[in-house]
Amino acid sequence: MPAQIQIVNVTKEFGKNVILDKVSLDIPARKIYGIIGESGSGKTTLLKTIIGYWKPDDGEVLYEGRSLEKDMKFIKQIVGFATQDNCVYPKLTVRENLEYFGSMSNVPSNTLERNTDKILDLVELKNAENKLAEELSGGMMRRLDIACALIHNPKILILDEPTQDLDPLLRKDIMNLIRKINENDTTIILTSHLLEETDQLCDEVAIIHEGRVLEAGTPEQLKNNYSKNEEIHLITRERKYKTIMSKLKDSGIKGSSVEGNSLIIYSDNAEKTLYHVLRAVDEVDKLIEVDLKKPTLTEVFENLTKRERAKKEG
Amino acid sequence: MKIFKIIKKDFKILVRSKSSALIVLFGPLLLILLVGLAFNTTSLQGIKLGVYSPNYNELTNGIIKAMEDEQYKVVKTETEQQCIDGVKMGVYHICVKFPDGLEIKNQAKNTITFVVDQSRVNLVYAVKGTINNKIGEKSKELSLGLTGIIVTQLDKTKTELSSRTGLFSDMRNNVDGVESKLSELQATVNTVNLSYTNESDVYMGKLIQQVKSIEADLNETAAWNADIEDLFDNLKDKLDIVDERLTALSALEGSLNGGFGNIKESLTVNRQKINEVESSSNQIISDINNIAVTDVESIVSPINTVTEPISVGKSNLNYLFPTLVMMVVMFVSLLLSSTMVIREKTSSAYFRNYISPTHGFIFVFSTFITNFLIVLMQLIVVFGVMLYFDPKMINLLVNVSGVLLLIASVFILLGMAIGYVFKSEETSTLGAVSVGSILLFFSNTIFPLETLPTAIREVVKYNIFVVGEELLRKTILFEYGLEQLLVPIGIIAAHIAVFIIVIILIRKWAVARYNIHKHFRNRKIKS
Repeated sequence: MPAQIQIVNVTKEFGKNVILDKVSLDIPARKIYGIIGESGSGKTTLLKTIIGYWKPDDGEVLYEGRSLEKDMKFIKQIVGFATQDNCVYPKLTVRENLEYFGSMSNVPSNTLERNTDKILDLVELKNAENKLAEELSGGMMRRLDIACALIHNPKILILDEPTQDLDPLLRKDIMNLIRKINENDTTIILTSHLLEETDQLCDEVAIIHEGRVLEAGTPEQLKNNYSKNEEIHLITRERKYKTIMSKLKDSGIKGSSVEGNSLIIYSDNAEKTLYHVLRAVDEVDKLIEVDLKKPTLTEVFENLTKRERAKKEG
Repeated sequence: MKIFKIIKKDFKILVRSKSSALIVLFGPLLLILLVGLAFNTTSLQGIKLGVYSPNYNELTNGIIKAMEDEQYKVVKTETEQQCIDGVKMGVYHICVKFPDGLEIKNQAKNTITFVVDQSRVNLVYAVKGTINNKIGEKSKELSLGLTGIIVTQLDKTKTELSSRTGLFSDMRNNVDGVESKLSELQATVNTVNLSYTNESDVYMGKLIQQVKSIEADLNETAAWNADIEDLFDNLKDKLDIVDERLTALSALEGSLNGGFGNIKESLTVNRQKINEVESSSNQIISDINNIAVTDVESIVSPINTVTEPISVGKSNLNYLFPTLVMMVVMFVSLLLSSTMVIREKTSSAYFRNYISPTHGFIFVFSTFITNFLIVLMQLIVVFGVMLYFDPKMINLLVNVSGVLLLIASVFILLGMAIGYVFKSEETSTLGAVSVGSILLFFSNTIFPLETLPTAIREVVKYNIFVVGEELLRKTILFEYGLEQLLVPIGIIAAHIAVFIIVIILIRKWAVARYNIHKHFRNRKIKS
């Protein structure tokens, strides 16, 4: 699939500090693309560069093959952006905010009302359309903010920490909303410090560390490449972990370790291995607790960053 | 102590916010420094006086020289109207009109007229006071001269009269002598007995009787002889008496002749003395008549001054109106626009506008128009009040509106620039008030600009408050048309252009950066 946004060898320096070091990313169309990284890793600068605020010192950003620098007006027209803050006017109603930002985004007046109604339905704010923005709850406000970013039907929606400061339920609402938006073939680029959420939501992610892209791909690819295997954590009454492991020699187990009271067994397919593990425990001991853990993006992230630090330290 | 901790924290926050620190701490100091440097003078400088006189003579030239000695630049105008128009145009600070044939004489109407622009009341009083002093000095000098002539004449008269005092004494002595002589003559005359009337009557009666008797006796001859004899006796007696009397008279005549000779001589002397006195008196009268000015008022104040406003029939409100309107427009525009910009800039919605495909200039222009409409509404109220007090001003409405809206525009743009420079509403408001105060301080409102050093005045004359006030004064008070005000309008237009460029640059470089930073807070990674 051709990339909708191409970030080609983008370098950005502030004085002697290299904030982005030859960053290259291909962001495909109609996908949810996550950018994750530690604080100070260059995420913010990358987003600033993508929306055209910072001009790269080297390299370029292309939207559908058109240069950001040369076609800023076109790109502003196809990009919607929602920041961590809610960029709306508190003293305007929900509908007024949408109509105002629609006008600013060159939505023709004859289609603006239709767009507004459609977006209000999408973000489920139809019932609150005449409420002042300042009267909305946190979740509604965030939905309004995203709605404002969508009012001109952008092809690309960039969300900076979209679930920031929301409680788990509202977070789930917003994630569902993002999926719904994406179902309408809108490309979504988001940053998030909530890696679990990114893992669930994003089709592809890029991990940035110290201004460089460490890895990019689907979460599954990353997990396969950079995480340990799936894990079975178990605790038995007599802790005869050596005996249990001896009975599992030919069960496709990749390894084991004891951490505290628990025996951790690594496997390519934990669900399949679990059957053998439970049989072995039954024979020599009594099971108290068992837990099956799949690899996470957090783990990938930690492994990658640890590796980078180790490389750096020599 | 918690209080100290809080105070310490407040100071740290204040100092670490550069714009706040600059405005709060250094703003007032800078203001005081500027004002202190600028107004550290007591004299008026660069005062230009227009002077008109139908004919210049020694006196008018003397007064003009006195003004020039005061470092005033005096320009003689060809016509009275030129002189007055010069004040209206601001070319001259005051027009000094001399009367036709200014000279010191009786009943002369030596009234010098100051034609002033009452709307610059503080300057008018300052300059008028100084010129009045100069003319007063001249007037006093003339008054002293006139009084000196009179006093000299009095002195001369006194000397003359003193020198003639002996004459009066001599004349009195002479008169006394004449009086005494006349008394003597009277006494002499009194001694001569000329009264024989009764006796004569008796004698005549007797003589008549004797004649009648002689007539009767004609008839009796004897008796006639006796009677004749008797008659002759009587006649002889009578003649003796007459002779005696005549002798006495003759003596009296001699005596009188001598007496009258003396009197005549005395009178001749007196006449000479009287002639001398008369001559002195004539000389004094002549000298007094030679005093040119004897009119008391002319001596006490030989030159008077009156003040005439350029535009008649206006109240103090009229004169203050342009300044009041300027102050209202300036502060309203500055505060309103700076507040509106800073609120927009610091609102979270600003960022969405920034990243929208709408050009930044559209936002700047829209903000300007919003402010402009609000100021326009306020000006409508101001105009309403103005027309209520002076319905004639309806004729000026178009010109005044044009000028006011131009002025409002420049202040709105300045306010917007301030709003874009500062980061918080508080500092922006402080900035707007400070800028407004500086513009106000360096205008004619508090002190005349003429009190400033020349170099500073050359800069300050482009102060938009000064230019705007001049525009308003000329439009409202002197009813100038816009075509006559192209220079100040040009200056305002230049300011507008500069402010637009400044706003666009600031918005592009500073404000956007601030807001983008604000919207990209760093977050820690959480799993």
